[in-house]
Amino acid sequence: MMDMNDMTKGYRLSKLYWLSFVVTYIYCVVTVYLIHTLGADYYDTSNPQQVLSAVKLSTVRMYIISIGLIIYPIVLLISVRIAKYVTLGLTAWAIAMLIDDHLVLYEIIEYPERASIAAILELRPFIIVAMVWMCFELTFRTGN
Amino acid sequence: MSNKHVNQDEIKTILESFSSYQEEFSKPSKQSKLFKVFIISFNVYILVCYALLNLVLHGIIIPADPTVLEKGFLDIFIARANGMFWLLAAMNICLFFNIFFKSIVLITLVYCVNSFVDSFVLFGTFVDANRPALSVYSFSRPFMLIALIGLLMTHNTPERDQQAT
Repeated sequence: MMDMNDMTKGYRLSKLYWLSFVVTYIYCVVTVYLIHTLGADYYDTSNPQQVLSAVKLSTVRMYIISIGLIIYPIVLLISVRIAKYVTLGLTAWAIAMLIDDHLVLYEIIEYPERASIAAILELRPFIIVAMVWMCFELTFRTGN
Repeated sequence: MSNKHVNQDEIKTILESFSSYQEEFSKPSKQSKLFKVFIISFNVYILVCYALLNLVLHGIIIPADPTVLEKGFLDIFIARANGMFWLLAAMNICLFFNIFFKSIVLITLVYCVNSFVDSFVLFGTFVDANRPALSVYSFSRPFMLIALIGLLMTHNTPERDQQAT
């Protein structure tokens, strides 16, 4: 019977890649769960327009993350070459979101003041680093 | 005692071994006419938008609809224009050196789609008879996305990159 080591050897990817993959995956699952279960009472109701913007944006992002969570493992199993482009696209999207939030959206939207949400937002740069690492691995290690 | 200095012949050999590699990177790749149309259109579109925004910011052009100058819109336009400017620069450099062009186009496409979705979710379509400048901007954005998809599909990847992938 083929064990996990044999399976991962076929991809010629390092253990650090799989660690990044698992960490990113867990982060995304937790994020989707938090957005989905977040009650209306966690929002600061003094500014309804900003709250509405935050809810709308979070819902759209939640759906995109969910689609990514379902599609990515399937793509990785089918083709590493396509997975490279999917990873690149998702990483670019994560970076674009971070830049957008910092440059533009933090003035327009208001996220709930809750420790778990703050942790999710603060951890974003580290997850992006993990995703960038995955891009490099898929570009250079599998290409040789 | 051995001589550890590299002599002239050895330096020449090292430089010659890299010369073909340099030529390969600096050699322009053959691209289709359609690709050239897409890349020129995209460059012109971004540069015209960037120039227009700067002219509006400095008060040289006064927009027909004053809502363009509202702080919320203006902040978004400035941030997006700066992001696109650097992505356009990176795209042209990648095209010139024949390296990672498709990757940078994909990144630009994702950035544009993200901007498009965010703007749509937060502000709607911008299309309004009282705001002609914003309406024109809204209608022109899908063409930019089409140009980016066209660049991805019509780019003739050099053999070196095809082997790597």
